[in-house]
Amino acid sequence: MASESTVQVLIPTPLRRFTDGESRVEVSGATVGDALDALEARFPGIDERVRDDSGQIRRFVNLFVNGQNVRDRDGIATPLSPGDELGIIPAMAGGSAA
Amino acid sequence: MSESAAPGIDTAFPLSPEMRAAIIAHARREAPRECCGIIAGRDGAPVRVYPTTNIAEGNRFYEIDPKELADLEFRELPNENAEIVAIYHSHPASPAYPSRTDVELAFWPEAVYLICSLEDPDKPYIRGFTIRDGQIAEVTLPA
Amino acid sequence: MPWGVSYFLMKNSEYAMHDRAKATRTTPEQAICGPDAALLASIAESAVARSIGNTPLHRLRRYERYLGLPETIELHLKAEWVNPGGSIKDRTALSIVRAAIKSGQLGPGRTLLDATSGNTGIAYAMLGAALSFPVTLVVPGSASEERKRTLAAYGARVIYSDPYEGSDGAIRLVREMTSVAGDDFFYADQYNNPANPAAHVATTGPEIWRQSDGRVTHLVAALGTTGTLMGTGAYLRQQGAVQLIGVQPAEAFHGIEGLKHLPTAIVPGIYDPSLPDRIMGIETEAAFEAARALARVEGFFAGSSTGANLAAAGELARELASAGQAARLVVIGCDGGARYLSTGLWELG
Repeated sequence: MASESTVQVLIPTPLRRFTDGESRVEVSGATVGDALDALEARFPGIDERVRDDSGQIRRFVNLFVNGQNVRDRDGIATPLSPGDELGIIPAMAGGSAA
Repeated sequence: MSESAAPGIDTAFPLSPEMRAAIIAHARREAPRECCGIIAGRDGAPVRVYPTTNIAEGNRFYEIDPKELADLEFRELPNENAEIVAIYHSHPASPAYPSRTDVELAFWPEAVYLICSLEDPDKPYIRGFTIRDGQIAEVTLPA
Repeated sequence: MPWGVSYFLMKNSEYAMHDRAKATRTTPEQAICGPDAALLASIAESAVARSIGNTPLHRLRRYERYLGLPETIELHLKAEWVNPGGSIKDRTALSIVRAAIKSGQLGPGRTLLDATSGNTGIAYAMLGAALSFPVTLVVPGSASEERKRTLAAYGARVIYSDPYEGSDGAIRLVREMTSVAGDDFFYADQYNNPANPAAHVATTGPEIWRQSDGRVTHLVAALGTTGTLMGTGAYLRQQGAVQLIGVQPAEAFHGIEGLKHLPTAIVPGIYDPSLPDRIMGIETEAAFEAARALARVEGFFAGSSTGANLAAAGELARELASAGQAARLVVIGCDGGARYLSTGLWELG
């Protein structure tokens, strides 16, 4: 079993109201999913903005580990190493349809 | 309220003439697709316009390349002591008013949403809005 | 009318008239404004504006020996990095700003806009701060961190253009913006503004003539907007038989910031191809090597365009030496080396 890593979670402006305004939060976890669990434990309500009911990353949220989109890796199962940076970025999207 | 941006920017956004022109130029260049980008500011004053890549398919949607957005939000702008103050996109064939899609996908309540309409190609115009909890409020732009 | 030599040698009052006429043609309301007296007066009072120009001309004796040149061939370097904004572009920007204020195109609250990834942008930003007018620059997204921060330090606004289109992309974007709302700001247009070469007709040229005791035989200047060569060259050509040497990158894809490879770039409107006697192409590595040698041999820490000029001057000097000719070459030292610390120019090794 993978060991826990201490990582930095980068919080985007719209989610900082969950983190008392902090833009960087240190948590521990072996995977992206673990880190999100730890984040939710400290700042209740934030995970709902990131994952849906089935635990998958929401369509209009992207997670980056050291600048690499986890959708191009193993999603929430993407392993974390000590010192990694996990960035959460809600989409800027819309359009003239409808 | 924690969702408010820099003071004053909620009701009036000081979009300068050259920033307005840059957004319209970007919209024209990208048409018939929608263009998108962000404006960064310092102490509430807009200082930088970053045109970004629209990764959405078709001509009626936009989604800012999340990688570009992450680089700006977490690296470039904090380094510059700046923050995102506005998000712009174009409506190539419809009025400059938030669509249902725009409202549903407004995940950045602190930012001003600027929409550039090219409905009349000879008279492009931009309007600004805040979109919070599904509520649209117009933000005054300089004449 | 093409911007020929005769145009550069018009008197200042004639420039102003021409600018005003041009403004009347394009945007009638601009000419009505007239010059803002307070803004004009602030140029005269500005410590920054007053410290632009009158830079030293240094004979490079050690570098001449390093190249193995005979005593009859002299290299002199015009040290433009001592300008307050750190480059020769301070002269250009001040001339453009002054002409625009005189013609009423730039006034209180009116923004100066131009496409520039480099020194001209820094110079505009500096003058905007010193004289209190807003400055917005269109900059390729690929601009270096120190450029972006320098502009921010002066309080200039920035609009980014496509990083893959380089400086031509910035020019294209600014032109598109002007076609949208050209009356709402002052487009300084350093590539087409006659006040650019006029700066060098009025200052750089006379300084070099005086400092070389009227014995300059060759002027070596890199081509970006081409303003330095056009203006300085036009002045020197009037004084005597001075050979005018333009320096450009040898290839379209190069690492010499600010320089243009004319065959593949948007050719500036101020460029008069009949003026230069010769255009020399310099490889990026040769330019870098000359800049490094200058730092180690003379102790002058200059940028890569100065390196390009020096590399061209060295090549020329050797040709002249083997032909047994005497010469006094004046080389433009465009800016300092500290501006390029994050580029390949100063990598250790």
